[in-house]
Amino acid sequence: MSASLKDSFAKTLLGFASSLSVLVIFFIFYFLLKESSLALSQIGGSRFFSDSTWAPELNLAEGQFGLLEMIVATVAVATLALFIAAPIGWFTAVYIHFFCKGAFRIFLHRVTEIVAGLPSVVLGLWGLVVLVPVLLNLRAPGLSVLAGAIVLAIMIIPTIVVSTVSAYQNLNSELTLTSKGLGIGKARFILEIATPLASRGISTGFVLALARAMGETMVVVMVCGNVVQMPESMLDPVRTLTGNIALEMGYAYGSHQSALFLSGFLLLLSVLTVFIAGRLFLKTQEEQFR
Amino acid sequence: MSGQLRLRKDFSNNESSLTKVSDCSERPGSVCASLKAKNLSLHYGDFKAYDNVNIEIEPCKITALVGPSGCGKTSFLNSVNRLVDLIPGSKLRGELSFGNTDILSPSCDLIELRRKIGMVFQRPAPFPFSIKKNFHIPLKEHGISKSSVRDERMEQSLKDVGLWDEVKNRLKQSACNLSGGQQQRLCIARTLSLKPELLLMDEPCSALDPVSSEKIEQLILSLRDNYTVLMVTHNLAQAKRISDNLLVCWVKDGTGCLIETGKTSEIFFAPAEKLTKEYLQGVRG
Repeated sequence: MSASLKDSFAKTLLGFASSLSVLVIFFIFYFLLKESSLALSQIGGSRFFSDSTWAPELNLAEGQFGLLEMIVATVAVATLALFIAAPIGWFTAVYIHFFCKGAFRIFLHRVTEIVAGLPSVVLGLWGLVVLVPVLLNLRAPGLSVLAGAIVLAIMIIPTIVVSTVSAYQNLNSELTLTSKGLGIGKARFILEIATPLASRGISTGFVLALARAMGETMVVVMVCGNVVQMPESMLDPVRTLTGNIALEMGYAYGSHQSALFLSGFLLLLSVLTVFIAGRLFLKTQEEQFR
Repeated sequence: MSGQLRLRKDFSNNESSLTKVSDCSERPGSVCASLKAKNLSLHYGDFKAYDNVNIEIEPCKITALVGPSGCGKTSFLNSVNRLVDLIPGSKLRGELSFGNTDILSPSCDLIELRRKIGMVFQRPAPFPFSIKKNFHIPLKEHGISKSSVRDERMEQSLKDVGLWDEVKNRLKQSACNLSGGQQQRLCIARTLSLKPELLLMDEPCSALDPVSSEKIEQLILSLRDNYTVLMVTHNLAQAKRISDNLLVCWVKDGTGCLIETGKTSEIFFAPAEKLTKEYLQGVRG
C-alpha cells in the first residue's frame, strides 16, 4: 500500500471514530425526546413547570408532574458541591504543582487518582454512616442538600485537581525562567501569571466537575433524603432529577415513564447549558486577563 | 594606564587574575558595583559544567563571553543571578560577589538579587499578556505599588530602548503581537524598568533577523554608559564590534574554563593563547 493511500485510510478511520461519538450524542437526544413524546402529548409540556409538585398518578388530571423543585434541587446540590470542591481542588493542585517535589508529589498524585476511582456507592455509604449523623445534630433528618454537596465535593475534587495540575503543566516552561529572571516571587507568579494563563484548562475542569456532580445519582439517592420539595435551607432534604429517575423507573409505565424520560432530557439539556455557559464565561474572562 | 584593564595569567594553575586599574568615579552617576568570581565552579550532579573561574567584570563596560558550544557560557551567566538553582542537582562552589552582595550566600535575597542583576534571554520571552502588564507585574513585585509610577517607569524604559513611539498606542494589546525584534527590545526594557545594575544577556541577537539584530546592538552600546553588561555571544564579529572586554572560554576534558581575558581590541589584535588565536581565526571551535 502506498504512503498516501495509508494516510487517507487512517484519516477515514479516525474520522469515522470521531463522528461516532458525535452521532451517539445526537442519538441519545433523539431517543430521549422520542420516549418523552408520550408525556408531552398526554400531559402537555407546560404542566411540568406549572404543576406545584411531583406526584404522578395514573389519572393524569389528578396527578402532579411539576419538575421545578427537582431541577432546583439538582442545581443547588451540584453548585454547592462545586463551591466546596473548587477552592480545595485548586489549592491542592497549586500545592502539588508548585510546592511538592519527588516522592511526595507522586504520592499525592496517586491518592488523588484513588479518590477519583472510588465507587460512588462507597462514598454514599460513608456519607450515610459518617456525615449524615453529624448533620443530624444540626437538624433532622440530616439527609440534606448539604450532605449531598459534601459527598459530591469529595467525588469531584480529583477531577478539579487533575485538570488544574495538567493546565499548569501545559504552560510554557520558559515562563518560570523569565519570571525568576525578573525576580518575581512564587506567589505573584502563581496568581498573576500562571493561573490567568492556565484559566482555560482550570475552568474546563470546573465545568466537567459541575457536570459530573449534576449527573451523579447514587450519592444523592443515598444522602439527600429524596423528599420532593423546594429546598429553603441547605439542611432540607431534597430529591434531584437523577434520583427521581433512579427511584421510579423500576415501576413506572405509560405517561409516568415517559415523564421520567423527559426529566432525563432536561438533565442532559442542563448539563449542556453548563458547558456552553462555562465556555462563554471563559471567553469574557480571557479577554479581561490579557 | 588609567582606565584600563591589565591581566596577569598564571597558566600553571590555570588561574587568571586581573588587576583593575580603572574605577567608575570617572563616570558620575553610574553604578560602580563590580562582579567578582573566585575559584568558581558549577556542578550539575556529577557533571562539572565549568571550573576555576576567576574574573572581575569591569563596571560600566560591555564584556563579551565567547567560546565554543558547551563551554559553560550560559551556565556561568545563569550562575550570576542564581538561575541555576532551578536545575535540580546544581551546585555552585567558590566565591561570587556583586558589590557587597555575596551571591552564593544561603541568605542572599534572590528576588532583590535578580532585580539588581537583570537577565535578557536568547529568545524574546514576553509574558503573553498586554505590553503594559508585562511591566506592571515585575514592578509590582519590586514594591512599586502606585500604578502611575509603574506607568512612568514603563514609558521611560520603552523610550530608552527606542520602542515607545512604536507601541505607545497599543500598550493594552498583547506583547506577542510584536515582531521578534520588538519583543526582544520589550524584554530589555522590562528588565531596565527594574533599574538593574548589571545586565546579563544570553545571545540576545541570535534569534533575530539582521535588521533587528543591528538595533539591539545599537541599544546595547547605548546602555554602556549606565550599565555593566555581560553578554554571551556566538558571533565573534559582534563581540568585536560592541564589547570592551572579552572573556574567552574553552572546553578542557569536558569541563568549561576561561582561557583568556582582556580588552577586546587587544585579544583580537594579539591573542596570548594559541587556542584563542585559532578560535578567533575560525580554525577551531
